[in-house]
Amino acid sequence: MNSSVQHANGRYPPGDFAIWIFIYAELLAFGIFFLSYAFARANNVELFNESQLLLNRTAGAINTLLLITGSYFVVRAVAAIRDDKAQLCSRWLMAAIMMACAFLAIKLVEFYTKYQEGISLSTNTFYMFYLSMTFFHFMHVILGAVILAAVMLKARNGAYSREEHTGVETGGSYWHMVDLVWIILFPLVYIIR
Amino acid sequence: MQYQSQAVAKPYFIAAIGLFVGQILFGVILGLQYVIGDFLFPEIPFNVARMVHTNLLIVWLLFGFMGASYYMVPEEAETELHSPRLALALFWIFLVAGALTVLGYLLVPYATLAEITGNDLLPTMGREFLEQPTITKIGIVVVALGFLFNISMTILKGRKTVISMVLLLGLWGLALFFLFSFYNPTNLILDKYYWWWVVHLWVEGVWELIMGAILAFVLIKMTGVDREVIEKWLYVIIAMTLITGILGTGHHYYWIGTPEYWQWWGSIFSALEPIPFFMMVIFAFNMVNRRRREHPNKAAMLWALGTPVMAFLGAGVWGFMHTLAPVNYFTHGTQITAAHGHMAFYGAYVMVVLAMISYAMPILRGRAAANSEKSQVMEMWSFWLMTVAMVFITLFLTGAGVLQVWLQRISESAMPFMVVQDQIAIFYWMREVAGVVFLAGLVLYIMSFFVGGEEKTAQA
Amino acid sequence: MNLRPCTWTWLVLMGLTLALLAVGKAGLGGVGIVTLVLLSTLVKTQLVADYFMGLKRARLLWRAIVTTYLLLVISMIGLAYWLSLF
Repeated sequence: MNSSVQHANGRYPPGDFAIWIFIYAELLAFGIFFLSYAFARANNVELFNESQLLLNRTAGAINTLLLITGSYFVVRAVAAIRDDKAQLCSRWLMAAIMMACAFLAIKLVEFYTKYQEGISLSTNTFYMFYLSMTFFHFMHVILGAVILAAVMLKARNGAYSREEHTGVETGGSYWHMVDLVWIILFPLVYIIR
Repeated sequence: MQYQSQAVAKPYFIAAIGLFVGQILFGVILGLQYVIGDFLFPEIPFNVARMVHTNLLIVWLLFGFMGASYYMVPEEAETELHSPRLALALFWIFLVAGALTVLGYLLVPYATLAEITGNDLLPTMGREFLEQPTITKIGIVVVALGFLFNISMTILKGRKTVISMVLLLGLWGLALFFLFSFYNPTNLILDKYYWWWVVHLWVEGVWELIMGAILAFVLIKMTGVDREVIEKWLYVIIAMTLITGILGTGHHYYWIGTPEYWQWWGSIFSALEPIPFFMMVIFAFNMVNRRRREHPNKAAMLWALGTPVMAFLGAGVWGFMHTLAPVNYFTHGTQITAAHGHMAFYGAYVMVVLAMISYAMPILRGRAAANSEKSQVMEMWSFWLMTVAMVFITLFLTGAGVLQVWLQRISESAMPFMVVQDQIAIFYWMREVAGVVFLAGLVLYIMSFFVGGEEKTAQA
Repeated sequence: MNLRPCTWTWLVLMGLTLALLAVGKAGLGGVGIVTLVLLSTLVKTQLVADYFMGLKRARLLWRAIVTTYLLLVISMIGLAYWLSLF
């Protein structure tokens, strides 16, 4: 299907239809996690407030900035390929992947620090949620980065053009979902008290 | 039949149906034993009848999956099966081994069976659904590997389609996870933990891939809808299956002594397990709605549409009802479980195999596309009898389960197990009636194979 | 300044995030603050959906699903927070 014609019609969201079913399903999964956390917190307010203080909010905020910037780069990449600029597109994607890698690195440091402090899934309910949710999200960042890398390589090899670049939009849409859920996760787990 | 070697599917399908009859006969026996406890005692005690009932179910479904694969793969790969002779040899080996095992259950005390089959060399007996002697289990592995070799070689040398790749992934997964039946930790928690790597990852994992592939194949053949459309749906469905089902295993880890976080993980992910089944319903009806041909096999079409609906109800809805930890705390190991189990197995796996047989058997027997009108009508009657009977079995068991949970676990003056069983006996009687109706439906189903008559000329 | 819409969006998102960090560092809490935080989260996610995911120009249904989701999840989080105060 000619995706730029599609887009001009404004009928379908960017990218392959199938990825959007997937995106909605992922949103649902994360949504359930978020609400489980929120209501579990309501039953354990003091515990959650106390444990939350031990989290590194700066690291979390930096990670948020990294993901948002990564998403911005992805948008620029899609704009580039819509302009038939495949090499520029792949460079923007590379920049986005760098953002993802930085996120992963900071998150790993966070996990390691907690591990050093003797905190695990069984420490208390707050940490069970914190570790589960951020690890679950971590895996999605990896998947997103891998998808972007695959798209980047294909772009560099000339697989996409102004007429046919559904793959870029598909990968991009998935990445934005990963960003979107973190934008909810960060305030929910790190900030709200 | 496009390829000669597809013919090997026929004996597999016949064996499957035969064993299905055996399974239901024992089911009816069991149902009666629930209310007349010493029925057929001591010749066929309850625990033996149960082993036969559950083991036959699994084995006949395996025959069904294998037959389905032998029929589908040559057509998908556009090449003859790698070795029809191997397929037939494995058929007899599997059938004989299965028969001997069931005879072993029936004729010999279980402890003796363990002794004479050398269970102490590598103990694998004694667990639910995995009661088979170790040598039988080894036999199953051998048969499975031979089957996988045959199918994989066929796909490798021919056209690779999404349907055949998904099927292959499911089948290899089935074999791989069965290997965990050989792992028998002495620690009871670990024992149960890994037991589910066979059971859950089968029926809420790789078997769903097999089901999806079979359903997709039948729908492509009968509706003529673009392969690309169907393949896209299949991808999404199996992605959802794996995403929800793998961590969804946690809904079996609530109370067995594993860490508490499983109560959260299991609840959250297993709550989403109905999604792929819901998608299968939409998928099937959507494909039929936009069909490009009027396929003469109305019976097969009925099975193909009924399968996702019953699967969604039995596996999805009934499963969801008792999957959340706070609920499961009260319903664990009650008749609620039995209600879910019966409808889920019937809806997802029994029906998909019957759908495939319904589609393929006329062709395997020399018809162009479908049986005579008379035969189809009888088959459709059998569909309704079995399906409605199963719905009632499930409803009655749900009633039994709700009352059981209330009386035995929630009520202020909770009653002991056996006292409660007496109280819910009325539901068991009603279930038994429904079970007999189910058997009647099955008999009608068998009869439909012997109704001849002219095939209606197939429309393009 | 003639910036692309996506660049404006990015700046707004960055700004709101930094504000959030400030709230976090100060350890602020309570209904008022949390309401602001949740509203800001709704704005941020809707912006991502509209301008980054391109849903603003897609058919209403796709956008509506995401917006409904965001409203539902974020307001339920708010409800849970409110319940936690008792």
